[in-house]
Order: sequence, then structure tokens, then C-alpha cells
Amino acid sequence: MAEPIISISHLRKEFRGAKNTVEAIKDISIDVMPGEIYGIIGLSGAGKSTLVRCVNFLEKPTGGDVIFDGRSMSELTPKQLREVRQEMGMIFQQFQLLEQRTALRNITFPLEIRGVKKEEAKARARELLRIVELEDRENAYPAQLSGGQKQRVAIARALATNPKVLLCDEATSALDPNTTNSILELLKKLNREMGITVLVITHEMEVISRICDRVAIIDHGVIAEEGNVADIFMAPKTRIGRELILGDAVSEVKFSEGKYYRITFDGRQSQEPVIANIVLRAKAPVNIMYAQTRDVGGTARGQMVIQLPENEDQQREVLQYLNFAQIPYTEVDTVSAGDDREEEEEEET
Amino acid sequence: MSFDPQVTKMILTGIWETVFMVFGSTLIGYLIGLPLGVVLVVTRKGGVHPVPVVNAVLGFIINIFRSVPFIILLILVMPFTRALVGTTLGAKAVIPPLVIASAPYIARVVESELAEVDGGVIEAAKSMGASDWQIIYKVLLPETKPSLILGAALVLTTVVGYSCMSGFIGGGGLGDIAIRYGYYRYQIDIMLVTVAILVIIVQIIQETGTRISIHTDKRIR
Repeated sequence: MAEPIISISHLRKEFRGAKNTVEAIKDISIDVMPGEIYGIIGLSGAGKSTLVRCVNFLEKPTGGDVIFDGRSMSELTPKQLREVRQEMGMIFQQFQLLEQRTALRNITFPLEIRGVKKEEAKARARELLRIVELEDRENAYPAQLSGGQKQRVAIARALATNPKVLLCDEATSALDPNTTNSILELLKKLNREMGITVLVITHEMEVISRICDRVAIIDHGVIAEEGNVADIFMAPKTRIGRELILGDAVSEVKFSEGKYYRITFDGRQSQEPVIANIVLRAKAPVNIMYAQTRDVGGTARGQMVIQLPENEDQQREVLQYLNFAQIPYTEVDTVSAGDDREEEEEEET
Repeated sequence: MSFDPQVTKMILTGIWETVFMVFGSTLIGYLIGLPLGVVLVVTRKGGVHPVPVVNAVLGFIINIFRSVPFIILLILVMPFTRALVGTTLGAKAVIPPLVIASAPYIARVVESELAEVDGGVIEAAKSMGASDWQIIYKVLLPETKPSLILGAALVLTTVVGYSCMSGFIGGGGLGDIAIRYGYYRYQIDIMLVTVAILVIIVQIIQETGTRISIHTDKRIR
């Protein structure tokens, strides 16, 4: 087994205010392996943006450490820290390009910082513009570029110093769905062709399921669960995991009284008429509340929320069938879905 | 009418003196005020390199200079002026008080302009390994260039006003002429001409500043 490129160990981060102290990150340990695309997902305020800023020490952690490529970040001098940061590219939700510089000169910026000669930097920047497919826009200013193009320039800029890792802080959250897809494709291509490790921070499950190999779900400053994206998508163990994966279903479905289950398909069951079988087996109708297909790690996976019949015997029949057919299922917490995520356990009325 | 060649010559000299005083003192004012403005913005809370003590002390000193009315400052710094340029009369003698008045003002103008830079852009520069110094001269100053130019026009027009006030202590320039002829000799026509010229000077400065600023700003278009 290779050494992790980024090893976050027992990281803590407090923000001390005048009145109270906020513990944004309580105790997080994550190992990111070289060459993988690792996702960190959480709702807003979960601490994920703080976490990614602790990786390159834009925020200094209160406790714990980050080991990057064998070096302890907390032991670096300011000068060493600046050098190490050049080995970690970072892109942002709002792109953060320099508005008074052309696309080309935005990309040469990190090279200027490093002291690379002007002509050499320009040649490298042109090469990167080709990679992000913007070779014809080198003289455009950010104001003349679309959101997706700005993010491409930002990606090129982040790659200029040949970093080992690319940190993406909500990189697609300001983009429309089509542009999001093209940026995600680009990240995947860079990962595949250049072998760059990518750490993705997002609140959208869509982003995770499209490009990530592994995912950590963080909630209130701790990791709720971690694992392969496909596994977590098929069978999330925690409430926050179910909530994030169900995503917009929670807001789209109007849950009333009754029992709701989320069932997932990974393509194998396509030969079987699952819903029809459930109905035949339980001799009672099930109500399909929500259904969606997602591309998770290259395979189509479906999820569906069904409402079970009220009769308890019939409910048991349905679950037995699901077990028999080896279809992963989890109960949907109708009471708290969406808003309240306190510690109350899933006892339904 | 009293516009003989002598008066015309006097007015031309006045224009030159005013331009010399205004641009000379603003230039020196920027040499002092620009770095101070940078220090103010960099050391403030949440700045590139927060040093609250430096920020508070510098801010306090600047406020003191900013709160002395210019007409009083002119008199207060007379001993200093005499020591520096050997006289308290004429255009040259007005430059020290003009610099002392404009530098703190410039520092505040520059501070507010540099503060426009989005914190996220600074963070991005840091993530690329930029040092504080590199952030100042590669991010803060170039990114605010259009505002800095507009600010310079604002400062110049304000200093035009200050330079005229110095006419009361024999400072030279158009203000001196206006005060001597219009106020002491009741030659309103000469005063009106100098005022008209001052209006034109201010218009030219402002218009030029606005145009250059728009021309350099790449956020528009």
C-alpha cells in the first residue's frame, strides 16, 4: 500500500470570537492516496471549507496536523510553507482570478511568484490554456469570460506549478449544470492523464458521484462516514449520509403519514421487474414517491423512494422480498428529513 | 480694465506656480502617503499581515494630522518650512505644508481603495505561495490601479484648493493672486479670471483622471 499524499490526523480548528468559541472542526482524520479523487461532502456550516483551508494552512489548525507528501505542515517555516503551497493547486467557487490581468497573465502569476523567467512562464501558460481548451482566449480579461471559462483559467493557473494535489473548494457551485459537467469532466481528465490527486469539497452529491473514488461525509465538524462512493451511495449508514444522497428528493417529495423506504439499484436488477414483484408478493400497492438515475463511478445507479402499504404484515412481506432480491434499502426519516438533524433516533409515529 | 501685459504675465506665472505646487507636493505626498496607505490596509484586522498595534498607532497619528485645519497647519509648520527651504514665502515654501496635509489624506484614500480587493483573491494568491510583499505589489496595487488613478485625481483637485488657501500667507500661485487682487484691492475682474482658470485646471485634472482610470480598468467591457 502506498503512502497517503495527504494525511490529515486528528485535526481540530476553533475560531475564537469575542463572546464565544466556535469549534468548526472537532477531530477529523483522513488519508488521501496519490492519484485518487477524494470527496468531502457536507451541508453548509459542516466545516468542509475550513477543513480544506487547513490542508494548505491558509487556516492554521488549532490541533492535530497535516502530513503532505511526508512533510508535517505544522513544522514548516513560513518560507517553506509558501514553497509547499506551490505543490498544491487550489481552485475556488468564485474563481478568484485577477481582474486586471489577461487569462494568460493570470496563469503566469504563480510562476512569477516562483521566479520563473517570463518567456518560459508564458510558454507554460499557453500549454495549460491548450489543456483546458481555451488557447484562443489568452488575451481575454476575466470580465470577458463566462463562469465556466473563468474556472478553466483558474484550473490552468492552479496547475501551472505542476502541483501534486489539486484542492477544489466548491469549484462548481457557482456554475450551471452543463458547465458543471464540463468542469467535472476536465477534473477527471486531469486526474486520469496527469495523475494529479484531487481533493474535492462540495455540498452536492452529484459532484461526488460523478468523479470521486472515495468520500467522507462531514457533519458538525466530524466525519459521519467514509468509504467508496459506490458503497455509500448504495447503502449510507448515517442519517446525514442518507439525507445528502437523497438530496433534492427530500424537498421534492411531500412526505405524509406512513413508512418510506429508499431502495437502490446498481444495474444488475435490470432484468427483474422489482416493483411489480413487490406488489405481487405483498398483494398491496406500493407508491413510488421519487425515482432517479445517477452515474456513480461510471455505472448507472438508480434510487427510488417508495411508500409501503399500511398493513404491517404486508410491510414485512415487502422487506423480505427486498432482502431476497438483495436490493439495498434504508428507511427514510420522514419526520426530520431536510431540516432538523438533532440526535433523536429514527422512531417514527 | 486692468489686463495689461504685466497682469497677463502675472497670471501665467500664477498658473505655473499653482501647477508646480500642486503636482510637486502631491508627488511627494504620494511617496509618503502611498506606503502608509498600504501599511494601513495590510496591518488591519483581517488584512494580509494583521498587526493591530501598528495599525492603531498609525491610524491615530494620521487622524491627528487630518484634524488640523489646513489654514492653521500653514502657520504651525512655518518654522519647519523656514528650516527646510529657507523662506516662508512663495510657491516653494508652500510645498512642505501641502505635503504634510496631503500625505495623511493620501494614506486614507489609498487605504480605502486597496481595501476593495476581494479577500478571496488574496487568499488565492496565498494558496499559490505568494509572500506578503508579492501580494502587495502583484495583487493589491495592480488590481486597484483604476481606483488609485481616480483617487489621485481626487487628491490633486483637493490640493489645488489647499494651494489657493496658502495665498493668505503669501504662498504664490493663482490663489495668492485672487486673494491679493480680489480681497485686498477689490479688483474683482482679476479674481474672477483666476477663479475661472482654477475651475479649468480642476476640470482638466478630474476629466483626465476619469478617462485614464476607465481606460486602464479591465473589469469593464
